Amino acid sequence: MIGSQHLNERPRQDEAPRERQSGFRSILVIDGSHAVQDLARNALGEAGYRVTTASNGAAVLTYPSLDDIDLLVIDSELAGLTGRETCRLLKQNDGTHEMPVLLLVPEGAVPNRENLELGPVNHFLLKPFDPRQLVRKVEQIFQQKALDQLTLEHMQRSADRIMTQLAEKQIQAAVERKTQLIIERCIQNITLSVDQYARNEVDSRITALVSDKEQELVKLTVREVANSMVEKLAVAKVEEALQGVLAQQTEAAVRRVTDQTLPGVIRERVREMLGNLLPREIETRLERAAEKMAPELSQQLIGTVEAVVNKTVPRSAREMLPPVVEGQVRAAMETSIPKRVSDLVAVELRTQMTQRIDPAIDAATRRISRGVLMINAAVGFLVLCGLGAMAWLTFFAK
Amino acid sequence: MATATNHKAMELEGSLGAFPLADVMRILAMGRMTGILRLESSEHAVELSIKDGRLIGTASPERFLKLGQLLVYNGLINRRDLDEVLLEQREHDTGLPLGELLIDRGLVTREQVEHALRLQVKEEMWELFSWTDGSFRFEHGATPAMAHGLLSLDINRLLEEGEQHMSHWREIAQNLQNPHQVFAVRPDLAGFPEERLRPNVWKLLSLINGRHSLQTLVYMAGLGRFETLCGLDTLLRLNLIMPVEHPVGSMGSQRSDTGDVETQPDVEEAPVTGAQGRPGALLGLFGRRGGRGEGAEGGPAWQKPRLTPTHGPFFTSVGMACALINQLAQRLLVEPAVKDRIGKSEPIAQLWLQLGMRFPRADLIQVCDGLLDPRPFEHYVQMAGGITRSLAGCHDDSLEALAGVAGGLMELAEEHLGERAGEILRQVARPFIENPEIQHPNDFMPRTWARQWAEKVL
Repeated sequence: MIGSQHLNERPRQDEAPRERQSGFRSILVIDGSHAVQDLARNALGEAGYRVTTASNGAAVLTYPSLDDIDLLVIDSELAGLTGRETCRLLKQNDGTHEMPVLLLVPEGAVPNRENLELGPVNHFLLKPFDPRQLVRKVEQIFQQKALDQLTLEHMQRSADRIMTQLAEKQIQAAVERKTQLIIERCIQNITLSVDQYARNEVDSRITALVSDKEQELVKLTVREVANSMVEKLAVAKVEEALQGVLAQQTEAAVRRVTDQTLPGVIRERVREMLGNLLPREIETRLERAAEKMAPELSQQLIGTVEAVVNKTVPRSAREMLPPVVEGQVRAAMETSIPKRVSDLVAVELRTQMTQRIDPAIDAATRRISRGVLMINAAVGFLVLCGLGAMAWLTFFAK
Repeated sequence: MATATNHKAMELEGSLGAFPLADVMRILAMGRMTGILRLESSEHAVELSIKDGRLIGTASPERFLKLGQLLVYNGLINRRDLDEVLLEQREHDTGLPLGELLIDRGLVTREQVEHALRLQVKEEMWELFSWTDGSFRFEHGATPAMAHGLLSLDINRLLEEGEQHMSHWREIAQNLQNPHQVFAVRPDLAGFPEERLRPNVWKLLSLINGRHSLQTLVYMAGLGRFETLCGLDTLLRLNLIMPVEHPVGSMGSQRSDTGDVETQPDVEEAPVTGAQGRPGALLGLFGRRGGRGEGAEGGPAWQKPRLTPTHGPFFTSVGMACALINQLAQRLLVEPAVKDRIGKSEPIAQLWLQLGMRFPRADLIQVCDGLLDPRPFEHYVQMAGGITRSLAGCHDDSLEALAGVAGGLMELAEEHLGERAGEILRQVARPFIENPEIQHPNDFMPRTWARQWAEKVL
């Protein structure tokens, strides 16, 4: 095989350290000549770049991962879509307009470098080129790019810092304003809430108190009303009862007293009166006895009634008793005594008369001659005396 | 189909017209057979090695894509390494396949070889599936010749893939029948195409420079014929590329669009294409470039091409080789026997176009006025200060291509002059071999090299 040891050396031997240096940058080399492609691939590959080659401009536009390309090295005089036209399309595209381009310009086709219309292209290199020169140029472009990147980053950082400070201030001011507003609103809300709460609380307390008082009042009133009503009812009941009881008791007492005393008294009186009726003495004695006996009897009657009342009627009733008793006694007296007395007097009179009159009749018969008229007058007197006694009793009772 | 028991081996044979290849292979896969399936048509013969119902390799005398070429075109190995390994393989006859040797040397990884082999075999299979006539014969139990264990394909999956491809394939093959068709990028691209290209399609597009024919693109892309044609079809449909007129139309009356490859048996089937074919205007990118400083002598340098000196000192070995070929051509063309036959055609231009297809990195050498012009190459050498590592590939390809041109020229001369051709060559080559003065020899030995080169040519 033709060649030398030098040519046999494999270019990959020193790739690793160079690759680290270049950071695996990707370069797309476009040239119509496969020899130039190979030359660029070898030179740039040795320098540690990742190189892809193609023969036409369309390959740039259709490259599957154009975003990963760090630099485009392209011949200006490509067949079909030229290098310059490709560059123009790249610069018009949003995604690729910042891609650095190294345009390879044929020396013969460039009469004057100053007049070279590079357009949007960043850099150019005359063909034929020294492979080392290509590498230097590429490194220079990347350095420039890195520098630009650094400057840009620095500017961005500065801008960021300024913007951050500004923003912080603005934010702080805004926050303060907002805070103040919020606090004010909070205070308002709290005041409103407290007011509302206090009002509610007071209302509820008052309501509670009022209801308590009302209840108490009602209770008191009810109690009072109840009391008064009970009292009235009790009084009425007591009165009713008293009236009932008294009526019975008084009636019974009067009847009993009358039953006990009157027969004897009347019997006595009648006897005396009859004794006096006939004689004058009987008349006076009866008068006196009647006078003597009547108050005593009344006193006794009152004492009995009082004792009964004391025993049976409570104090309240007792207080009311005298008028009632009075009334009752009066009524009893009015109704029962006269009748009784008259009955008893009649009975006594009959008995006394029977007893006394028979002998007297005998004597009288004898004295008839002298005094039939006297006897009639005496009887008339006795009746009048009885009536008088009754009137007295009535008066006494009052 | 006939089945016969022949001694130990069972044989299976028949006509592909009656039993399509896919059916035959399905049977072999189902039966987990081991052996060799030989396929023959009127033009081709292919052997498929099958082991346990799996395809482990193919062999064909006129293989379209050779493994070494595939690896070189894919940029996985360089031509020099390949040549050395091939030489070693021939000399030592170890019986090891090329792939294994390359792996042993650490030039490629096993995965890379496997991938290339798979591509190669699949390509051949797609080609075989399209056969409509021919015969097959399966030798059961025969030991596969190239059982290197690098490849093992599931036949059923291969058949499925093949069926999917075939309909598409026929349609595409219909549109892209001419292997010499040249494609160029459309100049009216107004912006970024909307559709994203698959990596393989982009790779294909990246190779299109208005000079390479379809056939060359298949070689260069290293994707296989099917993928290449599919990719070209996609690019045509996307209006990114267009077929252009064959650039050698103006080169000679006897040259047709199909090329006359048959007259150049040494050269692998390679179409004639490229802008270099047109001296002057069609010289391509470097045609308009003159040597540094020369442009000052009134008008652009490319309008007055000045070739390297006919005798030393030469600037580079490539320059010397160009001078030798130029002198040889000039010397031959004055011979009446040659002059009458060739007429006005330019044999060097034609040869260079053909060789340029095989050695794309030699494209810095151009043809001007029917002679080889190494100045663009030498200009780069001058700029780089010698044949540096960066230029080694161009240098090697250029010398290989020049050797091819010299060989082609000699064959042409022998065809017309007989033994006198050798005599003329020796006369012309003597001063170059005896006293090769090269200014930029770098560190290679001019004398040895010149002798080697001359021997190679002779």
